[in-house]
Amino acid sequence: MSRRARVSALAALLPLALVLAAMPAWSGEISVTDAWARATVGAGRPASAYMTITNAGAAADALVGAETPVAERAELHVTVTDADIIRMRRVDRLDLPGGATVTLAPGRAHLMLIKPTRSLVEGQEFPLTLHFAHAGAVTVPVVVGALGATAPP
Amino acid sequence: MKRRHAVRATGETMNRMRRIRKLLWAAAGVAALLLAIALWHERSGEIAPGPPAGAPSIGGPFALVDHTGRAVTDADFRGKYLLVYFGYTYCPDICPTTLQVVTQALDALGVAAAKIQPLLITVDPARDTARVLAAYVRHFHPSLIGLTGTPAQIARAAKAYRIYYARGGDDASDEDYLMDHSSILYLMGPDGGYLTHFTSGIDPDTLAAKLRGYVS
Repeated sequence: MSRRARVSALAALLPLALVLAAMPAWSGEISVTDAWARATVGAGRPASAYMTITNAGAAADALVGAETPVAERAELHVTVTDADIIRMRRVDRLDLPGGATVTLAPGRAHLMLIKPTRSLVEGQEFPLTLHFAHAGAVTVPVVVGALGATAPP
Repeated sequence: MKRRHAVRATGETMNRMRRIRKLLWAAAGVAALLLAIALWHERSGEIAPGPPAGAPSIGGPFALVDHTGRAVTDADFRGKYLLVYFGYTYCPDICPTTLQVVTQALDALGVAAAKIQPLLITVDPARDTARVLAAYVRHFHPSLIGLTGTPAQIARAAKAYRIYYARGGDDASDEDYLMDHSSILYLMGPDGGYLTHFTSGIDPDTLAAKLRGYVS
């Protein structure tokens, strides 16, 4: 190839490379469905968000963080029952084995939204960004259900 | 001479051995007894929910404040079945779930629900004032009454119902701490006596059926 042709070829590839670099981490293997949260009473009280996460890939992944504009921070909590004593324990990651579906549901595990900026009202929606170890960031809409809801609205 | 010594020595040795064996068996017996006591204590100790079979000392007098700010005692509820739950309003997960189960079960009972008084007694009186409870109980069955009080009043009520509660271990501020607590639904009779209890994982249909068995 002539030098000019080579330079042209590289020049043609450059925008493609930039586009690939700028793309958010592809979440192709991870899907998040039925993301919902309970309504809260008053602005200060923590909210709990639930969802179903499927790792369609063969390789393991993990949920390692989350954030949302409606709360100061989000923490993963699992509910531990020991002789009828309920404890909630913060965990740093939720493992997602290859091919597995994990559901955060009342009584089992939830994303606790700490110091919501406003009370969550049934029927509202807000965005939640989940961070996965390999899949990167995934933003999902969360629907707010009743305070006592036990399933997605 | 030597032989006699030998015989006597053997006899003494045998006796000593017998004694040692007896002591070893006695020690084993004591160890087994201690182990049994430890295991039993482990099962039915302070943290266990509900009374051990045959020892119904659940419940008792309490003096608290309801969510309208009115002072109430257990005597005010005589004549009704009480469905008692200890929880707190900052509880994001299990308490709303349990109270919703109670709500749905009472809804399913229809007219018979009027015989049952559901109570939410807070284990977090510092944050759960009467006003906070009022805003909270509204989201559940209309008959739900929230109860709070001084830390001492709450402690007495929790003790009467053998409820464990403590601030959660996670490093949280004074505003957003969580509580570890026993999560049990107690059913008390119209005379104030303990009838039975349900674990908080119960579903509404099962709870409704069991309640119906008691109140109808």
